Amino acid sequence: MVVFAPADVQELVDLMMEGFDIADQYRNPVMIAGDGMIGQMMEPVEFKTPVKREIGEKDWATAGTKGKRRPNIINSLYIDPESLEAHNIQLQAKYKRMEETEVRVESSNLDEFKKINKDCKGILTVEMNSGQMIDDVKIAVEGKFPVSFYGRMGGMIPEPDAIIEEVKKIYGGEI
Amino acid sequence: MTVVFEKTKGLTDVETHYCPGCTHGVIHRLVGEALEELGLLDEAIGVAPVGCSVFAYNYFNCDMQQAAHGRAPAVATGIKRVRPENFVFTYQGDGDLASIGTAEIVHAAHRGEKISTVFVNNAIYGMTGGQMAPTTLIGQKATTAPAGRTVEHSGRPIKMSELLATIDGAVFVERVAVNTPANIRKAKRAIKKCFEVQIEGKGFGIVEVLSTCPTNWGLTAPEAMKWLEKNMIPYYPLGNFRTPEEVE
Repeated sequence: MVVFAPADVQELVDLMMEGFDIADQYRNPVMIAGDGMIGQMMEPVEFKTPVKREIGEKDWATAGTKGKRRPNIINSLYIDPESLEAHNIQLQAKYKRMEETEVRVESSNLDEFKKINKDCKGILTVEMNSGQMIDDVKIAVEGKFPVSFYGRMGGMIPEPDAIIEEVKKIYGGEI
Repeated sequence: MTVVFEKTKGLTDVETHYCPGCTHGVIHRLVGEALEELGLLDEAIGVAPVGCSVFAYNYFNCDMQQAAHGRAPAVATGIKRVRPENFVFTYQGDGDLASIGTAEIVHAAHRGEKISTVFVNNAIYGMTGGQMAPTTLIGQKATTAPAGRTVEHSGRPIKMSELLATIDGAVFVERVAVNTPANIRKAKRAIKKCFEVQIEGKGFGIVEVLSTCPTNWGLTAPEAMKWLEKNMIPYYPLGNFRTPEEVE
């Protein structure tokens, strides 16, 4: 699935417009992963003209045969394993096309992360939940450093002092 | 040689998967004939349910979609609103329409969506193995009611036609059965009338068809026809509950 995570309200508006066209182009759901912060934020936004995409002819659509073609069927049920596998192969090819064409990310300070050397005593994951991303961080670290976690829940925001306390614990060998 | 009967063009040549003695086949033929005789096949878009008739999309000879369980009226609403010039119908069983899809059918009727629904009521969940449905009769045995349905435990069977007839947006509501040749002829007339209501743009129409399930009722096909007549028709009386004239 194409998942967009807007950083502000302008991006939310831009991606929402584009999201409809992407869903139309690939015949695939598109998810806009907003959060409570963006949902409650008010900002002036500009409604830009979306870039036109080549959607292609919808010869699959159920619009009535008009007596000119065989009936079209729209469903997601494939009882026969052979046709279901063929459908899955087609879907995987589509997902690959989506990945090649639609992925867009902005990175920040990634080079700094690469500079971490063997003196590092551990990596602290700070989250506003009970630890959703900690496994992903462990995978990224590849076991080179211990990974610990500090989280608050219910919408409570981790305070800088509390995070520093956690860092001190790591540095002091407490965790 | 004179042709006295031939298969309707409203059905494809695909062999159906229905159990022997099941009346879905009869009802499919009636719907196919109605579509053909009203000249709707080129414009029709049907929506299949989840349940025994899920594969209806392979059997009706027109454009078809298959909806999530109970959501056929919602999908049909979307299709009809985008393509008001097309004829849009749903084909649903009682597990689909009268249970998980109650909200969809009630609100589609309430909004007066210009769609037509063929509602096949066999008083049981057929495809999943004979579980009790909201339409299962009092005393009727089901795999989830081995001693028979009781009022104390499950309430009384829901009468969808009577319920929908209280809604102004539902301009055609009729209950029919397919247990005798005479009733089959009446059922076809009702289905055609229901479809004409949509063609004339009058509002939502539904035909409830009392149907048999010999497999899950544990009866032979002839016994099932008799059981329908003896048990279902007294509780689910046949007849018209609403015509466009009454609404006007």
